[in-house]
Amino acid sequence: MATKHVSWHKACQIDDIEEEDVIDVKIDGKTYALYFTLGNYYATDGLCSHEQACLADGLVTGDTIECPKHNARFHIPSGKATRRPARTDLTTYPVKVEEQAIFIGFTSEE
Amino acid sequence: MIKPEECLQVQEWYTCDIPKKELKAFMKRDNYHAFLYFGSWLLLLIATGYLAYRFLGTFRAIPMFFLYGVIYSACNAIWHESSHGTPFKTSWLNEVFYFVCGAMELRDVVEFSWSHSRHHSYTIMTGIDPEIAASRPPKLLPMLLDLFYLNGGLVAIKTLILHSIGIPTKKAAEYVPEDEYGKMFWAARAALLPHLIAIGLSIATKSWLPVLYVGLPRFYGGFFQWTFIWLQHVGLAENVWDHRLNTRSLHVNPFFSFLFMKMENHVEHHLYPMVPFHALPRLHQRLTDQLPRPYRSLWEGAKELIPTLLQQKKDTDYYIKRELPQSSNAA
Repeated sequence: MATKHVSWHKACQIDDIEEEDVIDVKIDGKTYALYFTLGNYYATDGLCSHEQACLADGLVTGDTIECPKHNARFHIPSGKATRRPARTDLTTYPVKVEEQAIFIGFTSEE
Repeated sequence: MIKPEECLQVQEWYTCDIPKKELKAFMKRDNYHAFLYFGSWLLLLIATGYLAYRFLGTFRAIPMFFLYGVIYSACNAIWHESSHGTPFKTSWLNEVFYFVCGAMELRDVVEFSWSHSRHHSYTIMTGIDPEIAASRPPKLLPMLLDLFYLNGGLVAIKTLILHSIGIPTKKAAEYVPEDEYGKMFWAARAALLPHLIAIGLSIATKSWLPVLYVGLPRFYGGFFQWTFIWLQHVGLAENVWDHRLNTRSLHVNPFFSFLFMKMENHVEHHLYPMVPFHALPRLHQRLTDQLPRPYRSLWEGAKELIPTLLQQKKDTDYYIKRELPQSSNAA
């Protein structure tokens, strides 16, 4: 039976991101969005599922990220697309904080 | 459905030099400005509508109904801004005004969402942008008719009817995904309903009044809105990846700025569609050294546009070349 393994990659220091904001993080050539909002850290795919605009250029309001290109919206904790023209949800990733650094987790099966 | 990436080489749009943190401050939403604006608009609509009714039977009813129509036709600007979801911080309020003003504009919220997304991604890219107001060579008679929405308005009615009966128009099929058709059809029915009610009331009461208040004002009062719509992009460069070259910003008087919901700052809006209407003048001030000089008035824009259209009838390569500040980057 396959077991799931989470590998953690350092994204940034906690001082790199302000409250109710988002930054982009590149890991292994792929862009991710790291959020700090409502007192928690979250991570999703970094590009809008509609036309791949960089979500880090967008606006975080509470639990919502709005894409800068066409105002599409996603629910940050679940990645769910909540406003047209986005229709495909974002993948979310686990996040942890250790010694003032933020890590994004990637799950693989072994 | 047209796939733009198969029709042209997609490039990055020009962006201004402004720190991200500063730009995000311009994007911040609140409800106050929208309540103030929408409240004023609704009050003006009610006041002019009431006075038009009071003046019925007198000559004064004509200018008052015209003024009512002008205020009513601001639904074009409101519907556009609401489609971006930016006026209110509270999402559902944007959606309410988007639907109501969309119905006043004779458009449904689903079809326009997709059309407008395409317009922002591929502004004035020929064969791809569905919202090019004038092609080359320009068709002047339909443009003149549109001063009273008599061209685009009839197309909009036909589209609403076809979508209401479940037939997607050829144009909508270019940019609306097929799995959105069901929502589009229902949105069209909802947008058509108030007009059918107004028509039914007019017939039942043998009076023009219901349609003079709902539906027809977008036609008889749309002159200023259409002038502004033309001045947004018509006559400028096509197929360029720099909104400063294919879009105009204008200075207008406070009344027009109110009617246009500050979208006379149209270059700024295209550069940064996240910025709500009330922040556009401040954004314009911030970026002014990186943008072409805005036109001083609707009239200055029209004075340049009219001979351009006439020239484009003879020479389709002719267009207005906007002068960029020397200090700014090229696209």
